[in-house]
Formats: sequence, C-alpha cells, structure tokens
Amino acid sequence: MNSPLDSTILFQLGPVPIAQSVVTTWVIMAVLVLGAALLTRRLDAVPSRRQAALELFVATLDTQIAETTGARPAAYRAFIGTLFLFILVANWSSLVPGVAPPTAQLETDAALAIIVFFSVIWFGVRVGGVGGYLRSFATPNPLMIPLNMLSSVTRIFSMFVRLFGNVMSGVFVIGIVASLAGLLVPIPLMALDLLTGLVQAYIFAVLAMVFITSAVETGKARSTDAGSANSPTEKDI
Amino acid sequence: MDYLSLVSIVCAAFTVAFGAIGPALAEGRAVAAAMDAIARQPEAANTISRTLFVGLAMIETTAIYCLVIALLLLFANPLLA
Amino acid sequence: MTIDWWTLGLQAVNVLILVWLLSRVFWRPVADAIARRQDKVETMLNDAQATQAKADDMLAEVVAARDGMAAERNTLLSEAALQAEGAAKAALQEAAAKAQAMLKAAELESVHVNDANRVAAAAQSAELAVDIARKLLARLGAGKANTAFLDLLIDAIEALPAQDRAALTATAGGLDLISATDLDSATRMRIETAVAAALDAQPRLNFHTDPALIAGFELRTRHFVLHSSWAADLDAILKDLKDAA
Repeated sequence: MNSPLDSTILFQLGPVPIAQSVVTTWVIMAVLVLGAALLTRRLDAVPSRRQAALELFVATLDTQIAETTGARPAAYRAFIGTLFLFILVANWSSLVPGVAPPTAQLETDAALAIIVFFSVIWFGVRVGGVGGYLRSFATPNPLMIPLNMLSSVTRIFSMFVRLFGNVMSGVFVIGIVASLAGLLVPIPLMALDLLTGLVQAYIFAVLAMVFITSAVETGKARSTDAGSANSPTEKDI
Repeated sequence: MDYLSLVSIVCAAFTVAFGAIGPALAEGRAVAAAMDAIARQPEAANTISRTLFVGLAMIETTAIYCLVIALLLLFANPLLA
Repeated sequence: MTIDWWTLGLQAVNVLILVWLLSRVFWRPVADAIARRQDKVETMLNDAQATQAKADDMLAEVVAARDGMAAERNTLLSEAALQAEGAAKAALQEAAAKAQAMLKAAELESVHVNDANRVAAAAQSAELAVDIARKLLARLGAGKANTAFLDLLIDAIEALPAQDRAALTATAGGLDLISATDLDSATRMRIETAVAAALDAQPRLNFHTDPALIAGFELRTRHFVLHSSWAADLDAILKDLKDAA
C-alpha cells in the first residue's frame, strides 16, 4: 500500500515537479472561478433565486465574521470565504472517482496553514502597526512572550495536522474498506466524509478568523490604551 | 524481522487503540451534555447541535493526531529508513 | 515523510491567486449587490416615510375639513331648527289670529242672522196682523166706508199738482175707477160728479170691481194709480211695519 504521506509526481515542468495535488488544485481553481463568474454574471436589485442564494451565502458568512470578530466583515470576507470555499470543494472532490483531494496531501495543508500564519501577521500589522502586533505577544505580561511565540506556531501546526489528518484518514479508511469489502460498501463512510469535510472546512475558517481576531484585538486594545493614556479626558466621554 | 519494525507496528496499534479511548469518552460526554441542553431548551437545538458538531470535530482531532502518529510510525519511520 | 517544497510553494501561490480571483469575481460583486440593494431599500424606505408623513398631513387636513363641515352642518341645522321654530310660532300665531277673526266673523254673522231672523219674524207678524185686519175689515163690509173713501179720493185728487190733474183729464179712453163692490147708479153718479168737481173737467169713468180692495176706490190711468182703499192702506201699513223692522 502506498504511504498516504507521500505525494505522486505527475510530470516535471523544467526544474519544478508538478504533483497530482497541484493539478487537482488548478482544476478546482478553474471550476471555482468559472462558476463564480457564471453565477455572478447578472446581478440585479431584484434578485433571482440564484442571486438570492448567493446573497444568502455571503450574508451568512458576513454574519459569522461579524459575530467572531465584532468588526466590519468587508476586510476579511474574501480571505476567509475563499479559504472556506476552497477547502470545502477540495474535501468534497474525493467524491469524484479517481480524484485524490488536494487537502489529503501534506503540502496543500501546510501551504494553507502557512498562509494563515502570515495572514495573522498581515492583518495584525495592518490594524495595530508593527509595534502593536509585536506588543500583542506580551499579553497578559512580558513573561508570556516565549509561550505566545511558541503557541502562534503550534496552533498553526495543529490546524495543519488536523485538516490533513481528517481528510487523509477519510480517504485512507475508504480505500482500506473498498479494498477489503468491495465496491459499494464504503458509501456510508463517504457520507460521513461529506460531513467531516464540511465541518473541517468550517473549523479551519473559524480558527483562522479567531487567530486573526486575537492579533487584531490585542493590537487595537493596546493602541486605544495608549491613546487614552495620552488624553485621559477621552475616557470620561 | 528487525525488532525495530516489530516495535513500530505494535506501537502504532497501541497509539490508535489508546488514542481512541480518550476522544471516545470525551465525545460521549459532549453528546450527553448536548442532549441534556436540548432537552432543557429545545428552541436552542440549532445552536447547540452546531456547536456540538464543531466540538466533536475538535475532540476527534485528538484521535486523528494519534492516527497520524501511527501512520508516521508505519510509513515514515526515520529509524527504519 | 518528505515534504515537497516545490509543491508547497505552488499550492500557497495557487491559494493566494484563488483568493485574489474570487475576491474580484465573486465576493466583491455579490457584496456590492447587497449594499446596492440595501441603499435602494433605505432610500425607498425614506421615500415611503416621507410619503406617509405627507399622507398623514393630508389625512389630518381632511379630518379638519370634515370637522369644519360637521360644525358647519351643525350650525346650519341649528339655524334651520331655529327658523323652523320661528316659522312654526308665526304660523301658530297667524292661525290663532285667523281663528280669532273667524270666531269674530262668526259671532258677527250670528248677530246678523239673529237680526235677519228678527226682521223676518217682525215682517211675518206684520203680515199676520195685516191679514187679520184685512179679514176683519172684509167682514165689516163696504157700505159706510165707501163714502169716507170717496172723500179721501177726492181729497187726493185735489191734492195733486195741476199738471197731474191736467194729465188725468187728458187721458184718452177715460179713467178706470175700481171699487170693491158693484156700485149702484146713484153712487156712480155721485162719484162722477165729485170727480168732475175735483178735476174741474168731465172725464169718462169706466167702473170695474175688484174684491181685493175690501173697501174703497182706485183711480187708474195708464200712467198712474190713485189709491183710496183698505187694501192700499193695509199695504202701506205693512210696508211701514216692515221698514220699521
């Protein structure tokens, strides 16, 4: 049996080896972009059923973001929403026969986790400035700085392993059961896989949101604290 | 057979076995608590069940970690290379 | 376990490109559509609020106008009631006055009727009296009274103005002398002489009888009559009595 931890290289593009997961990702990207372009082709003030469904999806996402961050969702909508959509479609692509989901490969999950890691820094710096972001490591006191730095890496690593483990184990178990029992037996497991894929996509997006929020909130709190320290009368208003 | 690969296989089995105990207990408790809460407040069933699913996925991740460790032991054991 | 760093980098780039593409193709248009519709709904709501405020104002105006109309109607009604009351009072007064006048007129008429009745009764009694007198005188007979009546006739002839006497004498065909009873020739002669003496002429006398005279004579021409009889006297008395009544 092939190791689920290894990736299969399809072909070599110059010095760059193109893995199967990369090709699947490209296909998924094409499907997503073309589908989005088709769905959002005509948007009116009076929505059709299609547009109403799209707007319901976007509004639900906005609500989730607003509830989690307490901020306006416009800045995070594209990043979080795309993360969720991509992971969801990638997880569910295991339903197509012969397709191995890209999220069942270590590299894809690692790439996603690293993007989240840098996005936390990006949003933290954008809202609180470099100083504000760096000071967010010193909460609740400077003694926690090494622990906070460690946790900012380990929580990302935990996200990476969680997504990878869930998707990969689903595919792995289905492969084992199919090779042992037969063709149609793993169908209940595939249904469970659907649920797992949805929940994992949701968890990944929510966790990314929470990490970004924690960085943004502490930075913002620091900056407002500093501001109110400079002008104490502002607090009384 | 090398005793290292033997130990690895046994350890992988134990990892999955013992790693499943904790999450199983935890998920049982979580579902029981959720049922209790739904029985008390049927109108909050939607929120509770959504939170329950997320929590179950989080708990299950513990077992998944163990599975990953087992797979590492079997397929990517650096001592066997 | 080996991580293929090339694949990792490619996937990271892929995801970033996907974020960018979807934000351009999907997230921003849909969010813009939502925002546009929210704006539109807000403006429509504002418009609707303004329109409703206007409608409320108009409603208040209409209500005020209707109240005014109701007040006007009330005043009109009260005025009309007042007028009707006045008219009714006036009509009542008029009717009362009319009734009083009619009462007065009726009283007057009854007085008149009474008077007339009294007059009629007096006339009847006068006629009765005259009838009684006529019957009594008829029983009395003509005999002696004739002489007196002849004298009276002669006196009356003499009392006539001269023209009338001349007219009497000039009457063609003679004079009609009507007596109550048939006259014997001696009396006729006496009468002829007396009349001739009174008239200073010799007219022809045609003698007639009429028992209605009771007693006495009548001298008739075609133009006038000289009475000298109980009947004429009684008639004169009756006339006087009636006039008195």
